[in-house]
Amino acid sequence: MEDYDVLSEEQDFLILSYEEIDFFVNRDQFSSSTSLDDVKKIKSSISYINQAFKYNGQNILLFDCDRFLQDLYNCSNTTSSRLCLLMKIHNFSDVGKPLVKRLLGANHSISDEWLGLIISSNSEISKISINEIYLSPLGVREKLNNHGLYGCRFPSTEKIQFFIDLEMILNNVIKGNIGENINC
Amino acid sequence: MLNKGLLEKITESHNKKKTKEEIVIRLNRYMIIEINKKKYAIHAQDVREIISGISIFFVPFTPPYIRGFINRHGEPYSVIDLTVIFEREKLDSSTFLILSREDDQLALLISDVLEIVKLPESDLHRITSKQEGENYFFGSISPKGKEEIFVLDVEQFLTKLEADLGGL
Repeated sequence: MEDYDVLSEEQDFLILSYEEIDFFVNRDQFSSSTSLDDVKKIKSSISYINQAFKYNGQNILLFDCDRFLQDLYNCSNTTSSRLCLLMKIHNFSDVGKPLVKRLLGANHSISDEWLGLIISSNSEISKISINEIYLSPLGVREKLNNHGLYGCRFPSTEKIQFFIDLEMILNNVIKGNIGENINC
Repeated sequence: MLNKGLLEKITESHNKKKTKEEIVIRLNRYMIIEINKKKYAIHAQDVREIISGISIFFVPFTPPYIRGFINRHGEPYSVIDLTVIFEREKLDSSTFLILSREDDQLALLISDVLEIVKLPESDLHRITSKQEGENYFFGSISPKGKEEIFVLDVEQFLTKLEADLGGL
């Protein structure tokens, strides 16, 4: 009975929808979302991390997750409007925290408390059963896990939804370890 | 009949049975497949299922011969495209051999399944001088006595994948 309960357990995920594929993210990885206003370009040598915006009087550094996913997975957006997910640096893992802190600490005008992720506005929070999610095939699993792609589910025969880890993706982007498939 | 004779007959009968079993074991079943107008063979016991007409979903961070994932009854399977390895071009097809493996979920992208043949193990002409890094075949067979068809060694592709992923 206990095993059955674990299998049928549901978890909240944020689903990011694109034309050909979707992505889903553990809801616990971010604190809240907000509209993107007053976005400014900043000087940066890191791909996809070259913008900031004002939120509650603070300058928040932005990672353009939407553009990153489109480039990496060759998918296209169904809408041009975008949102921002706010991630609290305090909630990052022991591996990710020092990496992000170092990045944010390099610019004193930037908040070292929050980080923003630009996502497509075509997104919604939804419950997904744990038993519908499959880890990647064993031969490629470790490699994909290291790049923040844990597995997938197939909501229909023509659609795949990839289970991604925002913090792991961000860590790789900061380290410049973003793969050969990137089209930028 | 004396017991001695009886025992001999019993022993002989078991030996005959054993010989029959050995002959059966030594017959190999091969699936003859076509990939980009070329014929290959694969041990039939390495194949679990043939699936056709489904989409491949691209997956990053893998070598080019991993074309992506397919949906097999709701589970992701990595798709290997051998034409990328052999001819450096992508095969345009939606037919897959689901491989029968306990250690991975793998599918081969193929053009077509042609036939299944049963041949004595001795009919496999083994490749003796394998070049390191290019030993993707057990050997070859010639089911109709004419053309030689190479028999794929799936294990070698997995070894290559493991090595390539380490380098990516």
